[in-house]
Amino acid sequence: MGAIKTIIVHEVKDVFCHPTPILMRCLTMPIYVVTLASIWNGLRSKAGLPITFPTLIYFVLTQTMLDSFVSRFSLSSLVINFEAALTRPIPWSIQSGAQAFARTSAQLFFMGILGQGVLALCGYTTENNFLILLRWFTVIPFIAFVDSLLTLIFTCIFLKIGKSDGLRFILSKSMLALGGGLYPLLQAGTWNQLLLQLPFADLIFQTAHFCLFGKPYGISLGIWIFRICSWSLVLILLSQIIFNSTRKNFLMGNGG
Amino acid sequence: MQKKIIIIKRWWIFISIALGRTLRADWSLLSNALMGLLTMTIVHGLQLSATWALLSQLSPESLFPYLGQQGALLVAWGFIGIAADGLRRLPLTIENGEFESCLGAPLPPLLLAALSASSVISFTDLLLGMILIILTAQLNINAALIALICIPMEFFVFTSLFILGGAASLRMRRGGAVGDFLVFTTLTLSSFPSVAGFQGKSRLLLFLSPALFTAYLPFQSLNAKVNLITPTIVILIATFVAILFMFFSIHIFSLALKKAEFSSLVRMRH
Repeated sequence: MGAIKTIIVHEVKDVFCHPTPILMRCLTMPIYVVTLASIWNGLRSKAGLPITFPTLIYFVLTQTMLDSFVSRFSLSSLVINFEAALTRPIPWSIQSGAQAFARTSAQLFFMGILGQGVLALCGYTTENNFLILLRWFTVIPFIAFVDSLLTLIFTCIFLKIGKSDGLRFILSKSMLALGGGLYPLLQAGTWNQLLLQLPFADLIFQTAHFCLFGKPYGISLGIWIFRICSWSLVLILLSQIIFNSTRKNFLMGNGG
Repeated sequence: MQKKIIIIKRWWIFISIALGRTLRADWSLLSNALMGLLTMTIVHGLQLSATWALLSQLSPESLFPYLGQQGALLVAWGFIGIAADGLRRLPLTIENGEFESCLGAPLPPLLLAALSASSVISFTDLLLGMILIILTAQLNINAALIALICIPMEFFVFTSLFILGGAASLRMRRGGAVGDFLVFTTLTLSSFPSVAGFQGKSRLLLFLSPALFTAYLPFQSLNAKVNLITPTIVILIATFVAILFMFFSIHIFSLALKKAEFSSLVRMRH
């Protein structure tokens, strides 16, 4: 337990002591957020539909999540430490999972505060900004847990086939395009109904909706939590299968 | 005159050899290339289908101009990747010192750097772009023709942005980030239906950025409900401006190159 605590503390410290990658991303994120929010609002007002949805905060939340999912830094850190981690008396999945979980949690915490702070500085405040931030802090452990499982899977894929960039790119684009990263999945229609059944929407769109309104969209809170737990269970099983397969073929010290 | 023809001939031979070799080198890692091609097809497919769903619900009339604009954008982006992928990596090659090897040859260093890499994966952009233009042609043949005319303009604008990024890398530490930011902004504004969606003040973002050439003008020309001649003239004038912009960025790059301090020189001094 002490070792896990040390890993978590080290990762959290690392995120706060070296914030350059996060701050660099904060340069490009506003462009994305403003573009997507303007497109959604503009198209809706052109179609004569009312704009009651807080798009700017919604896109800040979704982009923060999309930025933190399966980050390159977490992945490379786990890949580099894989061999050393195998020699320790704690299962690899627990120590690496804790490492990825701590890093993502810290990143989501940091970026969440930064995002809301920037919005407040720009004068974009709603009456429940504080509540949104509180709900954001509540969901961080859930998102970070799913992200840590995905990071474990991608680490094993990288160690097995020597590459995972392509698959990581597909995952991040799927989250963006199918999970509600491009637009809120509010509009009625068969396409959106289909997207709402996918895990990407549960992770991105429903999480952002929960932060904004205190409840997921179209389903009850219990069902949403059940679905997140089910997806997590699937990912746990998948990560164990891929890890066992990777460990079987893994050569310590490149086989030398 | 004859001397100039010889120089152009040499350049042409050099360009064709460089292109062939770099493409063969990239293609030699077959599994990587195939994986990249598959990845890019899925990624583009995902984004286009999501945007298609959004536009078909909220603004169906913007669908075909958006398709044509995306087609032109992808083809231009694909051309840069295939013929001059070195430009996309220019800030990186300057920062890690690889660019110095381009200074010793009797050819323009920028041309050498641009031709030093090719990306097989960019064939996906090219192919998908052509498919989108063909789809546009099925809906409106005039719009497809305008999309084809837009390709050189977008090519020159993106090339200029990469060169400016390189110039920034020569003049300041981590200057590549400036270029990356410029390209990122232009690409974000161009790859989403921003012209269809932006209204009021947000339109200023389109006018004040290079997205004017890569998103606004192509979209509006494709959407123009007048004859073919007016939008064609507008795009041709814009292409001329884009070429001037490219020469301007080359000039800036040359000025930055004259004053640049390379790592070997810095190493020699210390």
